[in-house]
Amino acid sequence: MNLFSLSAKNVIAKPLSSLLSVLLFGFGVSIIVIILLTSSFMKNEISKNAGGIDLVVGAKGSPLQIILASIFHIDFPTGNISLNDANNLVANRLITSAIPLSLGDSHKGYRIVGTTHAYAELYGAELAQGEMFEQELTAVLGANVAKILGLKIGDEIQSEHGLSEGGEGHDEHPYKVVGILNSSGNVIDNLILTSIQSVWAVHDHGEEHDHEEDSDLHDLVTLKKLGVEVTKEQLNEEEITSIFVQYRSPMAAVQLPRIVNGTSNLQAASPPYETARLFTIIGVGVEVVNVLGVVIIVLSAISVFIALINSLKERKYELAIMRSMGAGRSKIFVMILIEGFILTVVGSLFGFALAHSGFWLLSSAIDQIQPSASFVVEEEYYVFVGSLIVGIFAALVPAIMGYKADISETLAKG
Amino acid sequence: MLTINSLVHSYDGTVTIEFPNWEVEKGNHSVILGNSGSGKTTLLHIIGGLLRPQSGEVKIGETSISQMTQSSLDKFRGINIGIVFQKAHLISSLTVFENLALSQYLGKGKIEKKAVLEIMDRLGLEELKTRKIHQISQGQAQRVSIGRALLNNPSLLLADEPTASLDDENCGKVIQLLKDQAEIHNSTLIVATHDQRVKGELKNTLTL
Repeated sequence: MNLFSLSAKNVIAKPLSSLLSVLLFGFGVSIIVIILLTSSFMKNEISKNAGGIDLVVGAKGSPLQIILASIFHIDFPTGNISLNDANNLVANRLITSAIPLSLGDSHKGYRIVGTTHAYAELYGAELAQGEMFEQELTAVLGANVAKILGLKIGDEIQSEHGLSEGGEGHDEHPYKVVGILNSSGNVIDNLILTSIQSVWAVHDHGEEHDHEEDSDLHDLVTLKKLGVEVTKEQLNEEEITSIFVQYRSPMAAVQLPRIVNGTSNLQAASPPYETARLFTIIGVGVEVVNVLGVVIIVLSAISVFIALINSLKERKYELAIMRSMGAGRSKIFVMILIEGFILTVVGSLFGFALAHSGFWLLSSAIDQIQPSASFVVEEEYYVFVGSLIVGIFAALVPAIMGYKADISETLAKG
Repeated sequence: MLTINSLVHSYDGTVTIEFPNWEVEKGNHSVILGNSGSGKTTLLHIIGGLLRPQSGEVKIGETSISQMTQSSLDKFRGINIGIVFQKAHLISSLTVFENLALSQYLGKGKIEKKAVLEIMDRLGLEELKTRKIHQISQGQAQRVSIGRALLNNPSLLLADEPTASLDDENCGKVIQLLKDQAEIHNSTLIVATHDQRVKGELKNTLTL
């Protein structure tokens, strides 16, 4: 027997009141932790997906929309830009390299991205099997796409117009799967990659191009910075959705957006700036829910306080008897403090368990992210320590009351 | 064994009560007799170190407990004084065994299982070892509280109104039990009571 087991037995002796304290405390903690997990997870995802991209250039419109559509593939593109404009822009010496993107089609809800091999390299995605897309109408699948749709190399997939399921099909131009990527834990796992030319070919509704007299239109030109080889005709007529730009120097961050936005059809969007803006929008909601969590924790601290005061009243003879048996004041003080501590630690751990399993459920409901209950952020440590401090404060007053109790008076009345 | 010298207690600093000087030899079991309000419980609490007198001295053996600091008084009480209260007031979250062991833990700082089992056996409590407090009778609870007071072999065993609600037969039994157990544990028994029936059982009497 020791003080701790004595306290523990006192807590267990009042199962309902202890359970109430633990539940309240747990819910307060879990709300704060789950918000913490979600926002850190989002920040993490964003930095993972937006890393290495200095600037995104798309059609005029909302820069946030350009970012959401081109990087995270969750919004619709603002429109298209002409390949020629894009090529002229990237000729700028402030730009080291650029990756073109052509969006707009999907297969069973998974987006088809017309791009270059550099796009896969940007995300560090490597082939698990097969080869990269080289020929027209060949495609490489992200790991999740292959797994969830059960596709393998050699299968044919139809592209549908639009980004959601049930769009108008391009039935006459199926893609042939030639490769499947390893899972790299970011947005590329949920994409279908193909060449820019393939996307054009699918949308080229069989119109006859009558250019025989002007045969140099079929000469190939290499757009070095974009990493594509196109015909002169394509350069002049085709469109892409956006380009990812990599700066040559920090100076470019100041000058380039201004140059881009000065071009009539182009809009520059900076990933860090736009995601920060996104977070300030979400941040208000996060604040509100956080306040709710704190309120619940304070309420539960009060419930711990009341539970301890009540049990103190019921046990005042017991405590006086313990004193008469030789327990010093400090022993009584520590015993009550430990009782409060047990309630808050158990409550807090319950809250963490609840938050992590809740987070796991939440993330498994969204098949685009890999669920993980073990996702832990550093701030959780502060939440834990903070909740313990709150618990100790709730137990402090009852402990002092137990410390100061007049045992002779109590026993004389009993 | 016990010496009380010019002891004065004051309730809330207004009503004061003076106690006669008294001496109890080792092994001379005694009784403090007095009607309600005569201050017998107060005197018992002062002797037990639960209450500090306004002035005067209480000596237990060679130790003057009036001068002790609170924490050393608590420690002294745990080892040298056992108290049986009118009601048992056992710790409800613990079993019978644990209630007894608690007295060892709080008094001596360590638990001797053998001594606990021995005293349970002697008090007829061996069947109740793992029972919770709400599962035993009042009489059993009183015997547990007597066992609890004696476990550390205190030199002084104090009992506050142990017979108040008992019939003649049980009154005699409880006093006899207290006396016998005090003998076994080498303790000197002092009973504070208004119950005239106790007078015949214990020779050395202080009447308030």
